[in-house]
Amino acid sequence: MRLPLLLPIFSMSLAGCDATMFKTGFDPVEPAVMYTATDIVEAPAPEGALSVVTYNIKYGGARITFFWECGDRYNMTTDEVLVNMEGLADIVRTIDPDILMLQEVDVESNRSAYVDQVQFLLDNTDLNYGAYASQWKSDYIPTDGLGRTDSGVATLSKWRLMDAERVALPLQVDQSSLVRYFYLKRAILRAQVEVPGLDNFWSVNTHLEAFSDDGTKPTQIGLLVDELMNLDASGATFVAGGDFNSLPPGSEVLKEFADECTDGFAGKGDNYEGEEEFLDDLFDNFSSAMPVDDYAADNAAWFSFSGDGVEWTRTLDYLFTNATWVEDSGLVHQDVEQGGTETIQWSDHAPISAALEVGQ
Amino acid sequence: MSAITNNLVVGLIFGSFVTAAVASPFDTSTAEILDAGEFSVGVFAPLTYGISDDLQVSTHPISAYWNGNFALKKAWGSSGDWSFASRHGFSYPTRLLSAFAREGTGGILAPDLVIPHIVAMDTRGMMTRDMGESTRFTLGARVTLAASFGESEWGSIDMPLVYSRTAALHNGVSMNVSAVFDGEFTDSTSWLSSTTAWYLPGTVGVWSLEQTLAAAWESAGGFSAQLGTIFVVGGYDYGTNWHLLPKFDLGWRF
Repeated sequence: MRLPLLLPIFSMSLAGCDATMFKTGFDPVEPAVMYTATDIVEAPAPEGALSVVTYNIKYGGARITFFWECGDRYNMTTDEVLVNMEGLADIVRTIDPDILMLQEVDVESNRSAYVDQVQFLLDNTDLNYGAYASQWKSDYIPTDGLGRTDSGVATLSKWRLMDAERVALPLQVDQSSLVRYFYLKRAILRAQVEVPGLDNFWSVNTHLEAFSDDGTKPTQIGLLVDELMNLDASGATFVAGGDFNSLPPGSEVLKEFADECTDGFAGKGDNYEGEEEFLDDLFDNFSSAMPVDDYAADNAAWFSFSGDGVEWTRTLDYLFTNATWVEDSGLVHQDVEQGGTETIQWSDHAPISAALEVGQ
Repeated sequence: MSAITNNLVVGLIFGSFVTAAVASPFDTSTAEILDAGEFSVGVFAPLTYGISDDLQVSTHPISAYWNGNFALKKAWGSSGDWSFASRHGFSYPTRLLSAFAREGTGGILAPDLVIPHIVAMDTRGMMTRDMGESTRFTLGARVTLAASFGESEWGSIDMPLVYSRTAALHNGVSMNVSAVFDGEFTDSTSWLSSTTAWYLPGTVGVWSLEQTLAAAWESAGGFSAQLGTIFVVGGYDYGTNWHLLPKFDLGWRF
C-alpha cells in the first residue's frame, strides 16, 4: 500500500481513538471553561460608557522570535512567561477595560511552561470573571517539540459571564488529514455579560484563520456575521472583537510588508490581495470602533500588528457593536504617544480599545 | 531519505521506545526464562536470546543504534510455589532523545534542547506462581537509576507511558511495583492483566498507574500476535490526566 493511502487511514484511526488518546476534538457547540479571579474586585455599574478591549497576546511570547516566525526559539521557560505576562498585565491595568477579549491565550501548554494565562491576568488585574474557548488542543502534538497544547480565546470581565459557549468554526481543508487532526480548530466564544443596568448584553470573541488559501477565512467571517446577525435579531446588544487576520477596506498595502517573514510557518509572506472585501459585511452591518473613513485617511494610526517588533505594519484586530461607540473613542494602543504605554515589546499585536455608550 | 520515510523511521523508533516496556509483558513480567538457544523478537518487543536455561539476554534491535541497550534476565530458582527471577538492564538514551529533538513531524522534543549524556540502569525483580492449571500470578518491582553528564537543558516528556519511563533520566530515580495475572484460554491463545504503580520522585507528576489488558495468539510455528489496551492515569507536569491506549505487537519465537 502506498504511503499517501496510509496517512488518511492513520488519521482516521487517530480520530477514532481521539477521545482517549490525543483529545484534539470539540463538539459543534460546547460550554466554555469558566474562570474566577482569586480575589474579586467589586466593580460599580458603568457610568456612561463601557470600556472594551481586544488583545492578541501571543501566548505570552512577547518579542521572542519563535520558529514559526523566522526565529529559532521553540518553548519558553517559566521565568520568561511570567515576566512577559506581567508586562501584559501592566498594559491591561493601564487601560483598565471592563471587558477584555483575548486571543492566543495559553492555559495549559508546554510551549508556555504550563502557565495558565487566563488565571494570571484575572489575578493580576481588576478583572474578575473569565470564559475560555480553546482553539488548539491536544494532549500531545509530536511536532517541533510542541507537546501538550491548549491555546485559545478568552473573554475577561469585571462582571459575571453567563451562558458562555464555544461555537466551532469550519476547519481549513487544504491540509493533509494528519496535519488537520493536530492543527488549530477555530471557534467563536460568545458569553452574556451581566453588566449592571444592561440586559441581554453579549460579548463575541474570535481569532480567525490566518494561512488558508481554500476559502476557509471568508467562510469563517460569514459565520461570524451570521452569529452577530442572530444576536442582533434576538434583541441582544453585543460587542464583538478579535484577531480577524484580514485587512480593513481601504488598505493601501496588501503584500510585501516591511516585517515580512517568508521562511516561517506559512512558507511565504502575507498577501491579502483578493481579500479586500472580506470584512465588508461586518463594516456594512455593524459599528466599528475604527471608523473606516478614519482608517482610509491614515492607515498607520490603526495598525495593530508588527511581525518584527520595530514598527506596526497592518491592521488585523477589530471591535464591532450593534450599539454605539462613544465618538472617537476607538484607539490602537501603539505606544506612549498613542495609547499611553509602550506595547510593541509585549506582543506582536497591539490592544484595541473603545468605549461603548451605555445608560443613555 | 524522504521526509515521510524519515518521519516513519523516527516514529517506529519512538514506538519501539514507548512500547518497549509494555509490548511484551509475557516475556518481561514473569519469572519465566527462554529455553537455551531460543530466540524471540517482536515488532516492538526486544530481541531475546536464551543463553542457558536460567539466563537470557535481550536488546531492542530497532533502537539499538540510538539507544544502546541490553538486559540480562536471570532465573533464581524456586521456593515453595514461587519461582524467582531478576532483570538487569543498561541503556544510553542520549542519542535516542537527541533524535527526537528535531524540527517538524516527529519532533517529540524541541530541537533547541540540549540532551546530556545519560546512562541508565534498570533493575527488576519478579516472582511468579501458578494459580490453578492455566493461570499464573506475578509480583514485580522495578527501580531505574540514571546519571547525567555534561550540559543539560531539556524538559519532561508529558506523554502517557513515556513520562514515567523517562522520569529517572531527569531526576535520577524512578520505581514501580506490579501485579500480573496471565493465563491460557486455549493451547494457542492467552490473556494478560497487568497493574503497575509508578512512583516518580522529583517530578511534578509524582505518580502513574497503568492497567493493561491483552490477549495473544501464538501459532505452532512460533508466530504470535498481541492485541489489547492500556489505561494510564497519572500526574504530569501540567496536572493529572488519563488515557486509554491501544496495545499491539507481532512476535516470533524460534
